[in-house]
Amino acid sequence: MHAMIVVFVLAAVIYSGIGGFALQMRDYEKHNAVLRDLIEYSWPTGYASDRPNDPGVFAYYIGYYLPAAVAGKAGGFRVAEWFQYLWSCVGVWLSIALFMRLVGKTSIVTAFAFLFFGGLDVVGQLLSHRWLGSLGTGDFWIFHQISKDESLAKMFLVYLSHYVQLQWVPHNCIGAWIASGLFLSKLGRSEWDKHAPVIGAVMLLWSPFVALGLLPFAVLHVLARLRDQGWHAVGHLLGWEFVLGSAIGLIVLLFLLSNNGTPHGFLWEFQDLRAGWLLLLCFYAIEFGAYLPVLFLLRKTLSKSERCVLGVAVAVLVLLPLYHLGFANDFVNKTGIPALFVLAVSLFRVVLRGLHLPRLRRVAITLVAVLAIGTWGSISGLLAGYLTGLKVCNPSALTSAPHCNELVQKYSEEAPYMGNGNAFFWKYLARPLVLSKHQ
Amino acid sequence: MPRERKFRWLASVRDWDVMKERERMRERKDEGTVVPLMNGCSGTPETADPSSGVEFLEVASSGYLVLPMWIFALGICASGCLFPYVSVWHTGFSAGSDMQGQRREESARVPSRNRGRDLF
Repeated sequence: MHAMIVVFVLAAVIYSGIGGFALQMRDYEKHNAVLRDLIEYSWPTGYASDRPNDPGVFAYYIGYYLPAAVAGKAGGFRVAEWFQYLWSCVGVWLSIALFMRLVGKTSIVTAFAFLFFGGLDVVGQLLSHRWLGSLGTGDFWIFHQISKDESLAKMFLVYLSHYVQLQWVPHNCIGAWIASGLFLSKLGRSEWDKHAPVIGAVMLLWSPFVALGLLPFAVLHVLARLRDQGWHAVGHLLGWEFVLGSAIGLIVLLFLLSNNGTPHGFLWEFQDLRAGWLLLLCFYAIEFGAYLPVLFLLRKTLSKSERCVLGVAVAVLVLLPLYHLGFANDFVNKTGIPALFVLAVSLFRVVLRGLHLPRLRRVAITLVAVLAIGTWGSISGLLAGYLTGLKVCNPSALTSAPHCNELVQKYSEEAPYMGNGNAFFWKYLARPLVLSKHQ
Repeated sequence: MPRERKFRWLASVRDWDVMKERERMRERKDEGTVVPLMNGCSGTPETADPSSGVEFLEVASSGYLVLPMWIFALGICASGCLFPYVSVWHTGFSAGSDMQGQRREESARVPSRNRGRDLF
C-alpha cells in the first residue's frame, strides 16, 4: 500500500508540471524565471538597472526554489528540474503522510482524498459556463464570470483545490500543507511551543501568505495554553525556541519588506460590493459553504476543541476575501491554504467517524458524495496534464525562461518580485550586491 | 478546573479515547493484550503510543521546511558572513578582499549607466 502511495505521488507530481516534464500552467513563466535567476546569478540577486541610484534587487519568497537552485548551480538546468521534481515528491509525500496521521486512516484512498480535495467548483462552472469548461480551468469559474461582467472586475476570488494548488502554486502549497500538518498535530500541547516558532519563521521564507494563514491557529494555541496553565504557560511559550524563531523570522521579514509591494486594501476599496455581493456569497457557498450543513449534522463526531479549530478555519475563509492584495489577489488563495487544510482534515475525520455510527452513516455517505463532486477541480487539472502528455526528453524549460526583471517590465504590477536595494536588509545584512546583467 | 476537563478542552477525541483506553488497560494490568489505536498503530498497553512510529515523520517534515532556510543563510553569508558586514566591512578592513575585487570586476563589465549604486 505504501508503494502505491509513492507511485501515486510520483505520477501526480509529474503531471502537475513540476520539473517541466508535462503541461506547465501559466504561472510557470514566473516559477521558471525565479529558478533560472537563482541558478545563474549570485545570491542575493541584484539586477543592473538603468536607474543608477536604484539597484533592482530580487526580493521574493524563495524557500521552495533554493534547494533546486543549489542543484542547478552544481549541475545545470536539467539537474535543477529533476531535483525540483524529486524535492516536490518528497514534500507531497510528507504532506499526505501528515494528513493520514491526522485523520487516523492510512490508505491509498486517503491519499487520493487529500490530493483531490476541493470546493464544489463544478457547480460554479455549471452556473458560469453552463457546462464544465475547459480541462484545467475547473477552479477558475469566477474568472469567467468576471470576464462577462465589467462591474465585477476586481472579484478575483479563488480557493484552489489541492491538486490545482500543486499545479499553480507549489511554492506555497507544499510548505503550507506540511506546516499545517505539524501545527495541527501538536496544537494545544507543550511540544508545539518548541516546534512552532521556528516552523512559523521558516514559513516566511517559503511563503509569507501561508505564515499569515497559520497565525490564527497559533493564536488559538496560545489562548488554549493560557487557559490551561495560566501565566505559567508564558514561560514555556517564550523559551529559546521562540527567541530563535524570532531571530530567523526578523531576518527573513527584513528581506521580504524590501519588496516594492503591490496595491492592497479592503475589497470594497477596489470593487463596488453592491454589484459584487451576490458573487461573493456564491463564492462562499461553492468553495466551502456547501460542506457546512453536513458538518453541522455530524458535529457530534467532533470534540469541542476540534469544532473550535474548525470554527477558526471557517472564520478565516470567510474573512480573507474581504481583503485584496496583488494584481490577481493572490492573498486570498495562498493565505487560505492552512484553513482549507484544517477543513479537509475535519471533513475526513467526521466521515470516518460517522461511517462507524449507524445513526449517522447516511449523513456521512452524503458527505462522501459531496466530497467526490468536489474533486472535479483537481481531476480537471490532472486530466489536462495527462492528456497533454509527458515530454521528458524535451529541452529544459529554464533555457527559454525570461529573467525576473524582464517579467516585471512585461507585467508591471502583476509581477511584484523586485525590491529596494537601499532597504535595511540589503545595506546591513546581505553581502554586497553583484549586479547581474543578461547576456 | 479538574485536570481531566482541562485536558479534554483541547485534546482530540482520538487522543482522549486512546488515553482512557490505556488507563483502563493499565488498571487491569493486562500487559499481553494488543490495543488497536485509531491512527493505525497497535501494541501492548505499555508500548502502545499514538506517537510511536511517527517521530520520523515529524523530523523529516520539519527538516523539509528548514533546509531552504539554511541554504538561504549560507547563500547570503557565503562570501562575507553576517557580522563582518556590520563591523569589518564598514571600517574598510576588507577593502581588498576577493569579494570587493569581484564586485569591481563585475562593475567594470557593466556600462557605467547600468552600474547601480555602491551600497558599501
